[in-house]
Amino acid sequence: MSSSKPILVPVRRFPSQNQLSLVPASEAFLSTSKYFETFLSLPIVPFHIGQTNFFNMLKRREQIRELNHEIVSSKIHESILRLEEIIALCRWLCSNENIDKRLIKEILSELYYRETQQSSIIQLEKVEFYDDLHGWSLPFPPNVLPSMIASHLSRDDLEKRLSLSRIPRRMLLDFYLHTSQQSLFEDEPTSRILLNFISEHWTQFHDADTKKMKEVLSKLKCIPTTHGMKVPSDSYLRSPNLSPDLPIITLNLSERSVGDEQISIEYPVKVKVLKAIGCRTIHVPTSHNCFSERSTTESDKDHSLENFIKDLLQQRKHMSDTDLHALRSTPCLTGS
Amino acid sequence: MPLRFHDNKILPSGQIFIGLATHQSTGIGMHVFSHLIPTIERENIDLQYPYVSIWNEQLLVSIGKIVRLIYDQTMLDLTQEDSQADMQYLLPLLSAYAFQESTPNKDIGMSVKFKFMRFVDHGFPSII
Repeated sequence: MSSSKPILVPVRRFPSQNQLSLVPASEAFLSTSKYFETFLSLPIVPFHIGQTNFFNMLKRREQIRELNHEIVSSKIHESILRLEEIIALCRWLCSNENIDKRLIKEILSELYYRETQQSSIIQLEKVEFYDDLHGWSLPFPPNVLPSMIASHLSRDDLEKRLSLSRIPRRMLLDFYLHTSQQSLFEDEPTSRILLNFISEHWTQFHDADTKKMKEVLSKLKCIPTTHGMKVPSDSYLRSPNLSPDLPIITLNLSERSVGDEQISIEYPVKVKVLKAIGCRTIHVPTSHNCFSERSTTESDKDHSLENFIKDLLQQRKHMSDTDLHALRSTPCLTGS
Repeated sequence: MPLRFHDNKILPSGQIFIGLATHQSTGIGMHVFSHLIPTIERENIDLQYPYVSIWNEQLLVSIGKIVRLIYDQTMLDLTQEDSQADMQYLLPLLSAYAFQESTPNKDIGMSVKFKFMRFVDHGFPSII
């Protein structure tokens, strides 16, 4: 006994498909939203033609399925979305289509996407925050919606519809200080960005945060210098008192002009932040050698010693803890 | 294409023709002209008189098959061309196959719809 020939309907199999395909109606889906075909890779009848009475008739005869939220959610979790698809998904979640908050939370609990076909897959898990650091190019914790997606939505939508909050800076700091992300500090381009971030938000960190920062960063070659990446205790802030042969820090330092206007420079870092993590302002052996070499007679020695001490006193307020430690532990003042 | 616009929707408004137009709608966005045998008043087709009704019913079934063949070919042609250019035509084209209840006799539309939905392709040429 022969069976009926299936009715073929025009569908878009995936969002970027320009040409429509024909599939049996039993394999196609009717969309209840204009957004579904912008992010779901399913054979969906385009929304504006799916509203015709022809498809209503097929639906009444159960010859075609209607997309419901359960199917949408299940399909999203098993798909790797493209960047434009995940943006479209977020737009749908923020739309006025009476989407249950639980469904939004469920969808945001697990998402996979990639920026381009060649880039690696990024996983988002239990998204609670959004990135408001526009232009941030570094990896984020998996529970943060990156700005390349968040920037397409209004703050209202992000906070009220998706129930997301701005990413706390402390949480971001913890993430980057974790062992798995520390390599970012040892790469010059990313180190500049991170040190700038720390510098910009320095006042928002608690004592416990800065202590942890000092502990971690003091052991990492995270400071770009003229001799490559160095640990803070081997990195020197540029000064006329220092030999140019030393590893001098090449970061852009925050400076103020006479008119108290901030000079616009890329990724500036505050000097006090660099000192706090252990960067140096004096090099005791060089200074000591300078004064020793200049002293030929006893009176010369006394004079040079006086100048050396005056020098140290003048620089006292600019010295970091590491400088003081080096001063204490390097023999440079010999008694008679 | 015999379509009408009502309440922001496109509705089919095809009629049965037996030489001249009858008052009977087809329920789809196509006029149908065939050797259907009308009633004495010539305002509708006869589905009452036993021998005439068999002829008319079988014709209606064949019409359903033809409508289905037209639909299949139309969809095939549309998806093989640049769909962006033809998307604007899909809406009225598909509206023609909406299968509204035919008036005054709803059996006519139902016969056409029945064969449209249950088309079995035996590979034989159609009788009509």
